[in-house]
Amino acid sequence: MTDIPLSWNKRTDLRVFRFLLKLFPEDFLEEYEYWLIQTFKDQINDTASRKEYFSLWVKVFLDLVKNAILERVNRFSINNHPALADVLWILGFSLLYVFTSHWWNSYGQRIFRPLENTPFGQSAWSGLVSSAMMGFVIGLSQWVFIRKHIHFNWAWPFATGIFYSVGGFLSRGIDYYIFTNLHKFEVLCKLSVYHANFHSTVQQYLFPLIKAYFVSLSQVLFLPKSRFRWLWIPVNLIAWLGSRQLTIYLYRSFYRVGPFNNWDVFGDIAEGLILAVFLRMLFTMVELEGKSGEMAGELTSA
Amino acid sequence: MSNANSDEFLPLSDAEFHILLILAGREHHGYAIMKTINEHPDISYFLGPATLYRTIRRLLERSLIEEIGDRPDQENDDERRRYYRLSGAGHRVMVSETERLSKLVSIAKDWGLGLGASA
Repeated sequence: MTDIPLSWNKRTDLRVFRFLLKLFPEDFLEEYEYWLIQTFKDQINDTASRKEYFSLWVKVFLDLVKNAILERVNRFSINNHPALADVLWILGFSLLYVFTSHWWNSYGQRIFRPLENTPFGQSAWSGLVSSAMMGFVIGLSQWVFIRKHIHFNWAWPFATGIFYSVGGFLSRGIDYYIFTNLHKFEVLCKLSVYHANFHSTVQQYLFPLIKAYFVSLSQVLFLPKSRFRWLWIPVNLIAWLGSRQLTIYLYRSFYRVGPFNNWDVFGDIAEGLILAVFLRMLFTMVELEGKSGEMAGELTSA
Repeated sequence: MSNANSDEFLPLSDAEFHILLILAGREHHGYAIMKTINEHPDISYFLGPATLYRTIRRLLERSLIEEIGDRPDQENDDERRRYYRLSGAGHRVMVSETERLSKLVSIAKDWGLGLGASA
Protein backbone atom coordinates (compact mmCIF):
# COMPACT_ATOMS: atom_id res chain seq x y z
CA MET A 1 0.00 0.00 0.00
CA THR A 2 1.52 3.33 -1.04
CA ASP A 3 1.57 6.33 1.20
CA ILE A 4 -0.23 9.34 -0.14
CA PRO A 5 1.47 12.74 -0.07
CA LEU A 6 -1.28 14.82 1.47
CA SER A 7 0.23 18.21 0.89
CA TRP A 8 -0.71 18.34 -2.81
CA ASN A 9 -4.42 17.68 -2.35
CA LYS A 10 -4.95 19.14 1.10
CA ARG A 11 -6.45 22.27 -0.35
CA THR A 12 -8.96 20.29 -2.36
CA ASP A 13 -9.85 18.24 0.71
CA LEU A 14 -10.49 21.38 2.70
CA ARG A 15 -12.48 22.94 -0.12
CA VAL A 16 -14.75 19.88 -0.28
CA PHE A 17 -15.02 19.79 3.52
CA ARG A 18 -15.94 23.50 3.61
CA PHE A 19 -18.54 22.89 0.92
CA LEU A 20 -20.11 20.07 2.97
CA LEU A 21 -20.21 22.31 6.01
CA LYS A 22 -22.73 24.46 4.14
CA LEU A 23 -25.26 21.76 5.05
CA PHE A 24 -25.24 23.06 8.64
CA PRO A 25 -27.30 26.00 9.90
CA GLU A 26 -25.45 29.32 9.80
CA ASP A 27 -25.40 29.98 13.54
CA PHE A 28 -23.77 26.59 14.18
CA LEU A 29 -21.10 27.38 11.61
CA GLU A 30 -20.51 30.83 13.05
CA GLU A 31 -19.51 29.16 16.30
CA TYR A 32 -17.82 25.95 15.12
CA GLU A 33 -16.74 26.23 11.47
CA TYR A 34 -13.18 27.22 12.33
CA TRP A 35 -12.81 24.39 14.86
CA LEU A 36 -14.33 21.81 12.53
CA ILE A 37 -11.92 22.78 9.76
CA GLN A 38 -8.91 22.73 12.10
CA THR A 39 -9.87 19.31 13.41
CA PHE A 40 -10.37 17.93 9.92
CA LYS A 41 -7.02 19.41 8.84
CA ASP A 42 -5.33 17.61 11.74
CA GLN A 43 -7.09 14.37 10.84
CA ILE A 44 -6.00 14.59 7.21
CA ASN A 45 -2.41 15.35 8.28
CA ASP A 46 -2.41 12.26 10.49
CA THR A 47 -3.53 9.81 7.80
CA ALA A 48 -0.63 7.58 6.85
CA SER A 49 -1.94 5.59 3.92
CA ARG A 50 -4.34 5.79 1.00
CA LYS A 51 -6.63 3.27 2.72
CA GLU A 52 -6.76 5.37 5.87
CA TYR A 53 -7.34 8.48 3.79
CA PHE A 54 -10.37 7.07 1.96
CA SER A 55 -11.72 5.43 5.09
CA LEU A 56 -11.48 8.78 6.87
CA TRP A 57 -13.31 10.56 4.06
CA VAL A 58 -16.18 8.06 4.07
CA LYS A 59 -16.55 8.32 7.84
CA VAL A 60 -16.28 12.11 7.87
CA PHE A 61 -18.77 12.46 5.02
CA LEU A 62 -21.35 10.28 6.79
CA ASP A 63 -20.68 12.10 10.07
CA LEU A 64 -21.24 15.49 8.45
CA VAL A 65 -24.42 14.53 6.63
CA LYS A 66 -25.94 12.77 9.67
CA ASN A 67 -25.17 15.65 12.02
CA ALA A 68 -26.30 18.32 9.56
CA ILE A 69 -29.68 16.57 9.27
CA LEU A 70 -29.96 16.19 13.07
CA GLU A 71 -28.99 19.82 13.60
CA ARG A 72 -31.62 21.00 11.12
CA VAL A 73 -34.29 18.72 12.62
CA ASN A 74 -33.47 19.98 16.13
CA ARG A 75 -33.99 23.54 14.95
CA PHE A 76 -37.53 22.57 14.06
CA SER A 77 -38.60 22.14 17.65
CA ILE A 78 -41.13 24.01 19.76
CA ASN A 79 -38.40 25.80 21.73
CA ASN A 80 -36.93 27.28 18.59
CA HIS A 81 -40.26 27.85 16.85
CA PRO A 82 -42.84 29.28 19.25
CA ALA A 83 -45.30 29.48 16.35
CA LEU A 84 -45.23 25.69 16.15
CA ALA A 85 -46.93 25.57 19.56
CA ASP A 86 -49.74 27.71 18.13
CA VAL A 87 -50.11 25.41 15.13
CA LEU A 88 -50.27 22.35 17.40
CA TRP A 89 -52.81 24.12 19.64
CA ILE A 90 -55.02 24.89 16.63
CA LEU A 91 -54.78 21.32 15.33
CA GLY A 92 -55.45 19.87 18.78
CA PHE A 93 -58.47 22.11 19.35
CA SER A 94 -59.94 21.27 15.91
CA LEU A 95 -59.33 17.54 16.18
CA LEU A 96 -60.91 17.25 19.62
CA TYR A 97 -63.83 19.40 18.46
CA VAL A 98 -64.45 17.21 15.41
CA PHE A 99 -63.92 13.99 17.35
CA THR A 100 -66.35 15.05 20.09
CA SER A 101 -69.18 16.10 17.80
CA HIS A 102 -68.82 12.91 15.75
CA TRP A 103 -68.58 10.77 18.84
CA TRP A 104 -71.84 12.29 20.05
CA ASN A 105 -73.57 11.80 16.69
CA SER A 106 -72.38 8.20 16.42
CA TYR A 107 -72.42 6.89 20.00
CA GLY A 108 -73.18 9.53 22.63
CA GLN A 109 -76.79 10.13 21.70
CA ARG A 110 -77.53 6.42 22.05
CA ILE A 111 -77.97 7.00 25.78
CA PHE A 112 -81.39 8.44 24.91
CA ARG A 113 -82.45 5.38 22.95
CA PRO A 114 -84.01 3.51 25.90
CA LEU A 115 -86.14 6.59 26.60
CA GLU A 116 -87.55 6.77 23.06
CA ASN A 117 -90.73 4.90 23.85
CA THR A 118 -91.38 6.61 27.16
CA PRO A 119 -93.49 9.77 27.62
CA PHE A 120 -90.24 11.68 28.19
CA GLY A 121 -88.74 10.39 24.95
CA GLN A 122 -91.73 11.61 22.99
CA SER A 123 -91.88 15.02 24.63
CA ALA A 124 -90.18 18.23 23.56
CA TRP A 125 -88.01 17.94 26.66
CA SER A 126 -86.19 14.98 25.17
CA GLY A 127 -84.94 17.05 22.23
CA LEU A 128 -83.98 19.90 24.53
CA VAL A 129 -81.99 17.68 26.91
CA SER A 130 -80.33 15.77 24.09
CA SER A 131 -79.34 19.03 22.41
CA ALA A 132 -78.06 20.45 25.71
CA MET A 133 -75.92 17.39 26.30
CA MET A 134 -74.42 17.61 22.84
CA GLY A 135 -73.64 21.28 23.45
CA PHE A 136 -72.12 20.34 26.80
CA VAL A 137 -69.72 17.76 25.36
CA ILE A 138 -68.72 20.13 22.53
CA GLY A 139 -68.22 22.93 25.06
CA LEU A 140 -66.18 20.55 27.20
CA SER A 141 -63.89 19.73 24.27
CA GLN A 142 -63.31 23.45 23.70
CA TRP A 143 -62.84 24.11 27.43
CA VAL A 144 -59.93 21.64 27.58
CA PHE A 145 -57.90 23.95 25.37
CA ILE A 146 -59.12 27.39 26.40
CA ARG A 147 -59.71 27.05 30.15
CA LYS A 148 -56.58 29.03 31.06
CA HIS A 149 -57.66 32.01 29.00
CA ILE A 150 -61.33 32.50 29.90
CA HIS A 151 -63.34 33.94 32.80
CA PHE A 152 -65.61 31.70 34.99
CA ASN A 153 -63.91 28.91 33.11
CA TRP A 154 -65.81 25.96 34.67
CA ALA A 155 -69.13 27.36 33.40
CA TRP A 156 -68.17 27.38 29.71
CA PRO A 157 -69.44 23.84 28.86
CA PHE A 158 -72.66 24.39 30.85
CA ALA A 159 -73.45 27.70 29.12
CA THR A 160 -72.60 26.14 25.77
CA GLY A 161 -74.95 23.24 26.49
CA ILE A 162 -77.84 25.46 27.59
CA PHE A 163 -77.59 27.85 24.67
CA TYR A 164 -77.01 25.03 22.20
CA SER A 165 -80.30 23.64 23.38
CA VAL A 166 -82.07 27.03 23.24
CA GLY A 167 -80.70 27.67 19.74
CA GLY A 168 -81.76 24.21 18.63
CA PHE A 169 -85.24 24.65 20.12
CA LEU A 170 -85.75 28.00 18.41
CA SER A 171 -84.43 26.83 15.07
CA ARG A 172 -86.68 23.76 15.22
CA GLY A 173 -89.59 26.05 16.04
CA ILE A 174 -88.84 28.25 13.07
CA ASP A 175 -88.33 25.19 10.94
CA TYR A 176 -91.73 23.84 12.00
CA TYR A 177 -93.38 27.22 11.36
CA ILE A 178 -91.94 27.40 7.85
CA PHE A 179 -93.00 23.86 7.05
CA THR A 180 -96.53 24.14 8.35
CA ASN A 181 -97.48 27.73 7.59
CA LEU A 182 -95.22 28.88 4.88
CA HIS A 183 -94.70 25.81 2.78
CA LYS A 184 -95.03 27.81 -0.42
CA PHE A 185 -92.51 30.29 0.90
CA GLU A 186 -90.13 27.44 1.63
CA VAL A 187 -90.41 26.22 -1.94
CA LEU A 188 -89.72 29.70 -3.23
CA CYS A 189 -86.77 30.10 -0.93
CA LYS A 190 -84.88 27.03 -2.06
CA LEU A 191 -81.36 28.29 -2.49
CA SER A 192 -80.98 25.94 -5.39
CA VAL A 193 -83.11 23.38 -7.07
CA TYR A 194 -82.12 19.75 -7.28
CA HIS A 195 -78.54 19.71 -8.28
CA ALA A 196 -76.52 16.54 -8.41
CA ASN A 197 -79.02 14.68 -6.28
CA PHE A 198 -79.28 17.29 -3.55
CA HIS A 199 -81.18 20.44 -2.96
CA SER A 200 -80.56 23.13 -0.37
CA THR A 201 -83.33 24.77 1.54
CA VAL A 202 -83.49 27.81 3.76
CA GLN A 203 -83.87 25.61 6.83
CA GLN A 204 -80.58 23.87 6.25
CA TYR A 205 -78.88 27.21 6.66
CA LEU A 206 -81.16 28.69 9.30
CA PHE A 207 -80.64 25.77 11.67
CA PRO A 208 -76.87 26.18 12.11
CA LEU A 209 -77.09 29.98 11.98
CA ILE A 210 -79.52 30.27 14.90
CA LYS A 211 -77.59 27.72 16.97
CA ALA A 212 -74.28 29.43 16.22
CA TYR A 213 -75.70 32.81 17.18
CA PHE A 214 -77.00 31.68 20.57
CA VAL A 215 -74.00 29.57 21.45
CA SER A 216 -71.46 32.27 20.55
CA LEU A 217 -73.55 34.95 22.28
CA SER A 218 -73.27 33.03 25.56
CA GLN A 219 -69.58 32.20 25.05
CA VAL A 220 -68.49 35.73 24.24
CA LEU A 221 -69.01 36.73 27.88
CA PHE A 222 -66.35 34.23 28.94
CA LEU A 223 -63.72 35.44 26.51
CA PRO A 224 -60.97 37.72 27.82
CA LYS A 225 -61.75 41.40 27.59
CA SER A 226 -60.66 42.73 24.25
CA ARG A 227 -62.31 44.89 21.65
CA PHE A 228 -62.03 41.95 19.26
CA ARG A 229 -63.93 39.44 21.40
CA TRP A 230 -67.31 40.36 19.88
CA LEU A 231 -65.98 39.08 16.57
CA TRP A 232 -66.52 35.63 18.10
CA ILE A 233 -70.18 35.86 17.02
CA PRO A 234 -69.65 36.56 13.29
CA VAL A 235 -66.74 34.10 13.28
CA ASN A 236 -69.08 31.41 14.62
CA LEU A 237 -71.71 32.25 12.03
CA ILE A 238 -69.11 32.06 9.27
CA ALA A 239 -67.69 28.80 10.65
CA TRP A 240 -71.07 27.05 10.94
CA LEU A 241 -72.29 28.31 7.58
CA GLY A 242 -68.95 27.51 5.96
CA SER A 243 -69.06 24.04 7.42
CA ARG A 244 -72.56 23.43 6.04
CA GLN A 245 -71.68 24.84 2.63
CA LEU A 246 -68.48 22.79 2.36
CA THR A 247 -70.36 19.61 3.24
CA ILE A 248 -73.01 20.36 0.60
CA TYR A 249 -70.35 21.23 -1.97
CA LEU A 250 -68.40 18.01 -1.32
CA TYR A 251 -71.55 15.92 -1.43
CA ARG A 252 -72.62 17.51 -4.70
CA SER A 253 -69.19 17.02 -6.24
CA PHE A 254 -68.63 13.46 -5.05
CA TYR A 255 -72.14 12.17 -4.31
CA ARG A 256 -71.38 8.88 -6.03
CA VAL A 257 -68.66 8.17 -3.46
CA GLY A 258 -70.81 8.17 -0.36
CA PRO A 259 -73.88 9.47 1.47
CA PHE A 260 -74.28 13.05 2.75
CA ASN A 261 -73.21 12.21 6.32
CA ASN A 262 -69.81 11.01 5.10
CA TRP A 263 -68.92 14.53 4.01
CA ASP A 264 -70.04 16.10 7.25
CA VAL A 265 -66.68 15.43 8.86
CA PHE A 266 -64.88 17.72 6.40
CA GLY A 267 -67.32 20.51 7.17
CA ASP A 268 -66.69 19.98 10.87
CA ILE A 269 -62.92 20.08 10.35
CA ALA A 270 -63.25 23.43 8.55
CA GLU A 271 -65.50 24.70 11.34
CA GLY A 272 -63.08 23.60 14.07
CA LEU A 273 -60.13 25.16 12.27
CA ILE A 274 -61.87 28.53 11.80
CA LEU A 275 -62.87 28.66 15.49
CA ALA A 276 -59.41 27.55 16.64
CA VAL A 277 -57.53 30.08 14.52
CA PHE A 278 -59.72 32.93 15.79
CA LEU A 279 -59.39 31.90 19.46
CA ARG A 280 -55.61 31.50 19.17
CA MET A 281 -55.34 34.94 17.56
CA LEU A 282 -57.57 36.47 20.23
CA PHE A 283 -55.59 34.96 23.13
CA THR A 284 -52.28 36.04 21.59
CA MET A 285 -53.63 39.55 21.05
CA VAL A 286 -54.85 39.76 24.65
CA GLU A 287 -51.43 38.59 25.90
CA LEU A 288 -49.67 41.21 23.79
CA GLU A 289 -52.10 43.92 24.92
CA GLY A 290 -51.39 42.92 28.53
CA LYS A 291 -47.63 43.06 28.00
CA SER A 292 -47.75 46.44 26.26
CA GLY A 293 -49.95 47.74 29.12
CA GLU A 294 -47.38 46.53 31.67
CA MET A 295 -44.55 48.18 29.75
CA ALA A 296 -46.48 51.43 29.51
CA GLY A 297 -47.10 51.26 33.29
CA GLU A 298 -43.40 50.69 33.97
CA LEU A 299 -42.43 53.60 31.75
CA THR A 300 -44.92 55.89 33.49
CA SER A 301 -43.72 54.92 36.97
CA ALA A 302 -40.08 55.33 35.88
CA MET B 1 -26.35 19.49 41.11
CA SER B 2 -27.65 16.59 43.22
CA ASN B 3 -27.70 12.94 42.13
CA ALA B 4 -31.40 13.30 41.44
CA ASN B 5 -30.62 16.14 39.04
CA SER B 6 -27.72 14.32 37.45
CA ASP B 7 -30.10 11.46 36.58
CA GLU B 8 -32.06 13.75 34.28
CA PHE B 9 -29.17 13.62 31.78
CA LEU B 10 -29.16 9.82 31.71
CA PRO B 11 -28.74 7.76 29.68
CA LEU B 12 -25.89 9.53 27.93
CA SER B 13 -25.46 9.10 24.20
CA ASP B 14 -22.40 7.18 22.96
CA ALA B 15 -20.64 10.39 21.96
CA GLU B 16 -21.42 12.11 25.29
CA PHE B 17 -20.23 9.15 27.32
CA HIS B 18 -16.99 8.75 25.37
CA ILE B 19 -16.14 12.46 25.51
CA LEU B 20 -16.85 12.70 29.24
CA LEU B 21 -14.84 9.53 29.79
CA ILE B 22 -11.80 10.96 28.02
CA LEU B 23 -12.12 14.27 29.87
CA ALA B 24 -12.40 12.44 33.20
CA GLY B 25 -8.71 11.57 32.80
CA ARG B 26 -7.42 15.09 32.05
CA GLU B 27 -8.10 18.26 30.06
CA HIS B 28 -8.04 17.86 26.30
CA HIS B 29 -8.62 19.93 23.20
CA GLY B 30 -11.15 18.84 20.59
CA TYR B 31 -8.82 17.00 18.25
CA ALA B 32 -7.09 15.20 21.15
CA ILE B 33 -10.47 13.94 22.40
CA MET B 34 -11.31 12.65 18.95
CA LYS B 35 -7.90 11.10 18.37
CA THR B 36 -7.89 9.35 21.76
CA ILE B 37 -11.33 7.84 21.14
CA ASN B 38 -10.69 6.85 17.52
CA GLU B 39 -7.27 5.33 18.20
CA HIS B 40 -7.91 3.64 21.53
CA PRO B 41 -7.59 -0.13 21.00
CA ASP B 42 -10.47 -0.94 23.36
CA ILE B 43 -12.91 1.66 22.06
CA SER B 44 -14.72 0.59 18.92
CA TYR B 45 -16.45 3.87 18.26
CA PHE B 46 -15.73 6.44 15.57
CA LEU B 47 -16.14 10.05 16.57
CA GLY B 48 -16.31 12.44 13.62
CA PRO B 49 -15.63 16.18 13.81
CA ALA B 50 -19.31 17.17 13.46
CA THR B 51 -20.45 14.76 16.19
CA LEU B 52 -17.58 15.99 18.37
CA TYR B 53 -18.49 19.66 18.20
CA ARG B 54 -22.26 19.17 18.37
CA THR B 55 -21.75 17.05 21.48
CA ILE B 56 -19.29 19.51 23.00
CA ARG B 57 -21.80 22.29 22.51
CA ARG B 58 -24.53 20.22 24.20
CA LEU B 59 -22.25 19.31 27.13
CA LEU B 60 -21.26 22.97 27.55
CA GLU B 61 -24.94 24.01 27.53
CA ARG B 62 -25.64 21.46 30.27
CA SER B 63 -22.52 22.60 32.19
CA LEU B 64 -21.17 19.05 32.21
CA ILE B 65 -17.86 20.28 30.78
CA GLU B 66 -16.20 23.68 30.81
CA GLU B 67 -13.75 25.44 28.57
CA ILE B 68 -10.49 26.42 30.22
CA GLY B 69 -8.42 29.47 29.39
CA ASP B 70 -4.95 28.27 30.39
CA ARG B 71 -3.19 25.75 28.17
CA PRO B 72 -2.03 22.61 30.02
CA ASP B 73 0.34 21.49 27.25
CA GLN B 74 1.99 24.73 26.15
CA GLU B 75 5.18 23.18 24.74
CA ASN B 76 3.53 20.76 22.28
CA ASP B 77 0.66 23.02 21.42
CA ASP B 78 -0.43 25.90 19.27
CA GLU B 79 -2.70 28.77 20.16
CA ARG B 80 -5.64 27.66 18.09
CA ARG B 81 -6.60 24.91 20.55
CA ARG B 82 -9.61 25.16 22.83
CA TYR B 83 -9.31 23.01 25.94
CA TYR B 84 -12.14 21.39 27.83
CA ARG B 85 -12.39 19.71 31.22
CA LEU B 86 -15.03 17.82 33.16
CA SER B 87 -17.06 20.00 35.54
CA GLY B 88 -18.24 18.89 38.98
CA ALA B 89 -21.70 18.25 37.55
CA GLY B 90 -20.15 16.30 34.67
CA HIS B 91 -18.26 14.14 37.15
CA ARG B 92 -21.46 13.32 39.06
CA VAL B 93 -23.27 12.48 35.83
CA MET B 94 -20.43 10.17 34.80
CA VAL B 95 -20.57 8.42 38.18
CA SER B 96 -24.33 7.91 37.82
CA GLU B 97 -23.99 6.68 34.24
CA THR B 98 -21.19 4.29 35.13
CA GLU B 99 -23.26 2.89 37.99
CA ARG B 100 -26.21 2.47 35.65
CA LEU B 101 -24.08 0.64 33.08
CA SER B 102 -22.45 -1.51 35.80
CA LYS B 103 -25.87 -2.67 36.95
CA LEU B 104 -26.77 -3.58 33.38
CA VAL B 105 -23.51 -5.49 33.01
CA SER B 106 -24.13 -7.38 36.26
CA ILE B 107 -27.65 -8.29 35.08
CA ALA B 108 -26.17 -9.50 31.78
CA LYS B 109 -23.63 -11.59 33.72
CA ASP B 110 -26.38 -13.07 35.90
CA TRP B 111 -28.14 -14.15 32.73
CA GLY B 112 -25.05 -15.92 31.47
CA LEU B 113 -23.91 -13.20 29.11
CA GLY B 114 -20.63 -12.49 30.88
CA LEU B 115 -17.09 -12.92 29.61
CA GLY B 116 -16.46 -16.21 27.85
CA ALA B 117 -20.16 -16.89 27.29
CA SER B 118 -20.95 -18.09 23.81
CA ALA B 119 -24.22 -18.27 21.92
